[in-house]
Amino acid sequence: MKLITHNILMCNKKGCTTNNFPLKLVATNWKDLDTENAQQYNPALLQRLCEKIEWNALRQTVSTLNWGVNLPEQLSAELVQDEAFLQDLHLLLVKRQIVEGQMVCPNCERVYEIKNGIPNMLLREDEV
Amino acid sequence: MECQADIKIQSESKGSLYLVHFIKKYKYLDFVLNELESIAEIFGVSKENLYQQSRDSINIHKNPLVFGQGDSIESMLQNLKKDKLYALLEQRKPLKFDVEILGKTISTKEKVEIIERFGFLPFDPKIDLKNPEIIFKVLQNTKDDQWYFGLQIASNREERETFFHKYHLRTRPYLGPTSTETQLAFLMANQGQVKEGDFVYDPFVGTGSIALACSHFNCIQYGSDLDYRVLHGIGVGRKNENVKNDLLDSINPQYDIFTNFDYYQLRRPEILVMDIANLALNHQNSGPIFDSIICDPPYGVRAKSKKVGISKSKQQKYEDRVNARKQQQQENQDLDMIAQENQEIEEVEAQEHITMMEQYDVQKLYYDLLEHASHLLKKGGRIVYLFHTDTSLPEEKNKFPEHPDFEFICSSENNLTKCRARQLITMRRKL
Repeated sequence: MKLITHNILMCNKKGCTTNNFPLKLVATNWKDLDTENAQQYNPALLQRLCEKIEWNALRQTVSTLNWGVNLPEQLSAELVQDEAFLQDLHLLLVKRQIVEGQMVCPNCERVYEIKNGIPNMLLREDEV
Repeated sequence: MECQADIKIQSESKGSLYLVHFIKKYKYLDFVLNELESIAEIFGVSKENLYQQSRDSINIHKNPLVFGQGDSIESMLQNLKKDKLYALLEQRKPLKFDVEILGKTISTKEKVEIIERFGFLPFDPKIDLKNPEIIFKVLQNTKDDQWYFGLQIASNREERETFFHKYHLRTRPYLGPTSTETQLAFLMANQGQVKEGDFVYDPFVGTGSIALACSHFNCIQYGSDLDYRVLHGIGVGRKNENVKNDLLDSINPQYDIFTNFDYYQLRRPEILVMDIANLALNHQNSGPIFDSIICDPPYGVRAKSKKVGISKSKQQKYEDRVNARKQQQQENQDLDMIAQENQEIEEVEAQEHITMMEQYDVQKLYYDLLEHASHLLKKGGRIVYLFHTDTSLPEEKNKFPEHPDFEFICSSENNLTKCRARQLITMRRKL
């Protein structure tokens, strides 16, 4: 799982309808894949991702992860042309895979486990 | 459906004529025009784009740019657009002439005679039959009795020469029992108009065959499945022992849904264990997420439809019966008997899937899919999916799914048996 996925996930437990996004992310193991052609730095792709991302959710999450990257308050037209900034985003959104960890709903505290890079968003029968 | 072997395409912008020649006697014949139209809509029909796309199109065999046309070889030669042709000839690249008569065979001698008719052209040809950079094509279609002369800009004759050959299931390291066939998966990706950087979602991702085809086009691929086993490589999916790759073993020794993506050096997809009935996607706040949704919903024929909270007793009984038969079959060494057994299993499945359909209500499943898609897909975004029809069933069972937010674009039929067929349906979220 990468942060682009965390960025679209919310808690969908029965009755949990407010303050359920973004989930609190705890990453216990991660890996930067760079052996693959598809992980190459691609400014055009990153600019496209900037249009799609929920910026506040990303910034807030990254600030809790201690990955040595700090994101600015707001996106701007100048920023998405800035090489250093795009390299940061490349690491955060394209390369870094969260292999093990948890996501916790800030509202109901339901825990969603991440194993082998795959988050389990399934709810139990009494939660749907 | 009858399909023409040749289709003339008149480019609106530049007035150039292109011919596209499709492979005949081809099981996805009904898909060719739909695919071409989808691709054309992505790119517009220009020479560069047709070339680029025809390398990555499943159906297109070859497409010459036409310099001359006529109802006889003489009138074709008189109608040549000489300025374009001469500009090309002046480049002095190695070239060859190719003659093809559709609808009858002719001898080599006759072919040479046809080529010699071009002797009047004012150039000193560098003929290279083995490695030509330019291939001129003389083509006669005996059906409409037209002659064409043009430049061949793309060709996909042999399957092993195609871009998708390397993705063949045989050569893929991780497989599942219902992995979507490579060609069909790429047809689906083209119907979905998958482009670089698009967000594409498969809610029934399985071993990721459709996702793999989409990822070839460099999209950001999301996939989810109710069955965590197939995603994590436990039980359902299996390692293909024919494929050996040490690098693969070092990146990801466990063989799971990511294996094939690592193997083909494609961007790893974003995978979730999730139920389509209970999506944890944040579209309520952030609006539509995906540019296209491309999937093969479980129809109960090969993989069964399930959702959380449904009694499984009936399904268990069915599984037991099929497994018992399969076991019996394994013990039976006689090949003829096995063939017969297989047919019986298919018949049982054909009968059983009707009851399962009613139990899990496949019509409802498809409606739910479209309902979710109406929230998840951007306006104008496409949803592409397989739908099974069976002409032995009442008509309402074969009615294509409908939804007020979606308009129907096209469907292509792939016959499985006399009655049963798979339909590839393409719909678009209304603007």
